[in-house]
Amino acid sequence: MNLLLGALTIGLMWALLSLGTFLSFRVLRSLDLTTEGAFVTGGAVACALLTRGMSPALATALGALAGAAAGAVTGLIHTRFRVDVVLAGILVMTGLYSINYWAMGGGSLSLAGHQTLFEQAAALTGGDEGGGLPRDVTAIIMLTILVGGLAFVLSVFATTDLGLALRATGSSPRMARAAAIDTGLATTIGLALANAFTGLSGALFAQYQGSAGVQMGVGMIVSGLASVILGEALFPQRTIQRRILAAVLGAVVFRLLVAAAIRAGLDSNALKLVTAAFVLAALTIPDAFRRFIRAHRTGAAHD
Amino acid sequence: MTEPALDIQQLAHTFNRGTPYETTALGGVDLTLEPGDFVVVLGSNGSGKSTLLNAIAGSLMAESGRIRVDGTDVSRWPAHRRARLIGRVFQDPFAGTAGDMTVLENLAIASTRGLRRALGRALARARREELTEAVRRLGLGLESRLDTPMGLLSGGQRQALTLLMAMLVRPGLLLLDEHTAALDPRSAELLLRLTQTFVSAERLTTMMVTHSMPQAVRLGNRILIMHRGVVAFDLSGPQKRRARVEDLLARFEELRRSDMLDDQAADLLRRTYV
Repeated sequence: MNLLLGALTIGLMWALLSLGTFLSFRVLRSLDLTTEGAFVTGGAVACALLTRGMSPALATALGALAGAAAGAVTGLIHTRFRVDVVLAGILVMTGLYSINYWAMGGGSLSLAGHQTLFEQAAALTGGDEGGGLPRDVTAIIMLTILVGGLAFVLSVFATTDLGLALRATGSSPRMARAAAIDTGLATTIGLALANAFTGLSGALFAQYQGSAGVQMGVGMIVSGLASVILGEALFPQRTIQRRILAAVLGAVVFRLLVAAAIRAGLDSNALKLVTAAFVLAALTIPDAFRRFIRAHRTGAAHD
Repeated sequence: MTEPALDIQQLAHTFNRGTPYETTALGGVDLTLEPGDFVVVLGSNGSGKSTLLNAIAGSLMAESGRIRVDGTDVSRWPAHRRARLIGRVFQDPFAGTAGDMTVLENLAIASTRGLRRALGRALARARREELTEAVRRLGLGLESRLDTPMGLLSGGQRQALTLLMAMLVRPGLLLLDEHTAALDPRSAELLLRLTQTFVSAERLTTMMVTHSMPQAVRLGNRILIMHRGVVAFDLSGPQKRRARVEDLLARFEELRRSDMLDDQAADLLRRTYV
């Protein structure tokens, strides 16, 4: 039961990472490696501010904002200096490593003794000891409200004039420019928004585990991709609102599967390899399958 | 006195400058279009006609020369900024629309061309009705498929919608880059008719690049024949009205002969001096 609740909690935090990846990878069609750094930056900034006595809500929001700034820098490098978006992401991710280190004043930063967003939420219901709801339950309630609210806001945003401009920029840049959309600016805004979600995810995760560390972003882009792809496979949808929902559900299912795999005896160190293999398979098998079918058909025709 | 709709002076561009592949795509083009002019641009491959269109639209920044649209100097503007004044339809039916967005969403984007895009609802009821009416005027029955992803429509349908999108906000200049070339004959004919109807109803200043001489004869009030990066022939008024396909072919033959002469002269020089 605890394992399930824990998986659900992390799944909801991963849902924000998944939304960020959905924005960059699917909407803007850019593989944005800033994710790896922005996740840590979100956590590092939130922790640094919390330990200096800032309120958890504000510290979390500023963690998201720091992620957005990182995404904007990647966007500017990519669109103003015409550096390939993958390289731009790698440059920012690498640079962020040092910045994250400075923000935390070391390789990691513990939140011991400081109230986090989760403890605040638990306190609202009377707390564990006070006969209130278990910590994971309040965490799940709070995260459901937060993730649900943000997913809703994002769906509404997707059909505003600005939202359409971002989507057109990813879908058909020539069409976008012909419609007087500044595709460079749109890409930059989109990457900032994507990394705000990633930063928020990191800020929450750091508070959940009670510390931030420079290494906690490793493999995050692949986790995000796995969540997005899993969501699409389980809930194939066409409208943008439902695709956003699918990205959220994909992340939750992904974490539940991870929990199940570890429960079944999977070495947790093997997790990244398994996730990477899953993403590779999801990206290549449908295509290989189609080719196999086609080859098979032409083969049959020759007989 | 009214400003010309398009005024181009000494527009020049060379690809691969300083390499063995150096090609002069535009060799100093001068061109003026009056408001309401419908110019058909002809020319063989490599004559510079598509480069000219791209240089006007800003997809290509010409190395030198000046471009004014409706009196505004746009020479240094990037493509997206020029698009405030210029409507475009591409040869590729998939380039002009976003395949994974709905028909209505595509139209909504086009209907805000040149306006500030903020957080207003893109598909509010009033705009929805306005766009539905615009699609109905196409007469293709697409008003029943407004919430269909654009990617599910045929090339012809997408191209017709692209044409509509280019005109939702009245453009100072409409650029059509071989916009019927990738379509089947029936769709091409339909799109051509729509083009004719819309352009004359709205009196739009239009430049249409094509390979089709029958199209050139049928449409517009002016024909340009590009050759080696410059305007070789410029037919307007009665000359254009009287022009038949045979006349245009004769002009091309004339250009071909002068090329051959050039080649022969070069050959002679080579034999004499090398």
